Amino acid sequence: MRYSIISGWACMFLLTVFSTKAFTQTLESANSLFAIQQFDQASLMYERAIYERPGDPLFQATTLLSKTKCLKAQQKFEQIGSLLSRIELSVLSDSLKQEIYFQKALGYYLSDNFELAEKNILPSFNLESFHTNTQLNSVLLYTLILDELGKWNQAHLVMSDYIQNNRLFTTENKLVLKQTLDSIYEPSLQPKLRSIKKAKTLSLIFPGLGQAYNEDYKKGILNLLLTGGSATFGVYNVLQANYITAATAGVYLFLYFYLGGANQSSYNVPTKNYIKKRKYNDQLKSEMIYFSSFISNIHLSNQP
Amino acid sequence: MKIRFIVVWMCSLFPYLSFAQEDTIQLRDELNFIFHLGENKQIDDLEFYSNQILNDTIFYSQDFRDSVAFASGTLFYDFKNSIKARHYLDQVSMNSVFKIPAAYTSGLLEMDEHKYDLAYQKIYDAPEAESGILFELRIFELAGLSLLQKDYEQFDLLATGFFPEDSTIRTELKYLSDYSYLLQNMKKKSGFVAGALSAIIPGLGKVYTGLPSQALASFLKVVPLGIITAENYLNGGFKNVQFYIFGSLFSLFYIGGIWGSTISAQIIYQEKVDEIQHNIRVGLHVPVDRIFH
Repeated sequence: MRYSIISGWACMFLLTVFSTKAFTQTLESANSLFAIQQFDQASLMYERAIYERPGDPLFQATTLLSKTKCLKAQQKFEQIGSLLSRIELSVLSDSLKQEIYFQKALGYYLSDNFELAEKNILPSFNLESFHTNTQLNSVLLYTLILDELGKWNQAHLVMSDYIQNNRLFTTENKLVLKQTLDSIYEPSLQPKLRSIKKAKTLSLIFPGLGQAYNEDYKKGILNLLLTGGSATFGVYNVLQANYITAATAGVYLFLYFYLGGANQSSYNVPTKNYIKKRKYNDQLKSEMIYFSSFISNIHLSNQP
Repeated sequence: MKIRFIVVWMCSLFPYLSFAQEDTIQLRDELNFIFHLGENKQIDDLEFYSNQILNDTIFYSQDFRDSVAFASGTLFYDFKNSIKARHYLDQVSMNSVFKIPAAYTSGLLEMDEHKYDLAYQKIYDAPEAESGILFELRIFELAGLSLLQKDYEQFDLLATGFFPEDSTIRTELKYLSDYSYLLQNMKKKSGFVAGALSAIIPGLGKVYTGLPSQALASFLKVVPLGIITAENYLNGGFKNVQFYIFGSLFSLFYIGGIWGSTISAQIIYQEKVDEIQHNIRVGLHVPVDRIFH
């Protein structure tokens, strides 16, 4: 009886050793493949390691975070969010949660899904262990996301709060950083985005005015000429006693150009707004990245 | 006691020692891993891994590769990725136990893309069963595909005197017979008559082909233009420029209306055929999905 118990324990020990060895070797192999830039194979091996060690949320989380690096190297940013959603967060430490929220938000940000990026970065600020002294990356990413959503004032506020509440900065540092940030987010530099409703209303009040409001002057003049021409055509036919022509073709052409011009002015607003926003945000992004490296340098020099 | 110890010991190590067992365990493990990738929707990894196994003809046996090809094909079928599903299902070899479900699934995916000849060929080339549900399924699918190819003679040859025992196949076969009757007896409206009617009264040809709203739209375009042309002629004669402008527009819409009525007869007929063919395609999926998926 005693022998059988001992032998049973021996078998379990051996099986544990075998299985432990398997997933450890797989993980090491995945890391080596990643190091030599075999990203497809590395990604598969990370998944294999997770498969070989079920029921270990911590291992799953760290391995999936490693797999995220493969996806980023392959520029498969859109897959990062769904990959990290597999992680069971409730049993993980705050620092690991922080990293997962950040990587998810970064994945969504890099795949131009800014609403989801905002939704995923926000929980990291509610973590108990969140320290404004250390989480520059999260704050920077959040401001970049807000910039893309056109919430520049909120982005300015988030970064200002970060500077203000950071204990590693001296009063002098804070003053310099605040001034630099204010110059980056100078309200006069922000693009003046147009309203679709306003453009349409203006075009209805006077043909071509909506296009002019959207800074599309050529289209505005063309719309004014076409609407005016169709009205003249109607009046001319009334004067020539072509009443049916005036009532049908004249009215039809006038309404076509008048209402069509109003609709056209509103269609162009989002495109024009996007171009303005893109130009401003591209400039802002490079300035903010430079600004954050400046903050990092101050951090390093101020650290005890 | 020593013997019991050795038995337990050998049993625990048996999978690692026995070559035959290793193959089975490895196959099961690889398949489980493939399903793990599928469950977690790791599509790129699934494709990469399946290709690795399928391309390695030295290390992996044909049976093993057939199982992997079928598993991957089925997963891509679930992901509604038709191209990749067919790619893997077509790699299942003729001697595999998975060949029949693979060939039928791949064939129906070809059918969904209107490649009826290819679909027929794939199902025809699949291993035959002499009796039972697989035999009934084969006859049913080939009959349905003959109908889609408009080969009514072949459909009658397969369906006449065929009384399946399986209730799903029996019900679907009855629908196929109804569709066959509809397709063979559906009357096409005459394009010439439709055009002539539109020449007499603009839009009347569209009413004849069963498109009343288009008829009204055509009438409201052509008739006012005709009246405007007449008014301009009466007020200014041939010297009036507006007469030529509106006369040209009237002619354009009038002739366009006649032409539209002529081709709408053909379009309406084709739309009805397409609707019936869609129903046939859905019907052909029903027993295959029930039996294999």
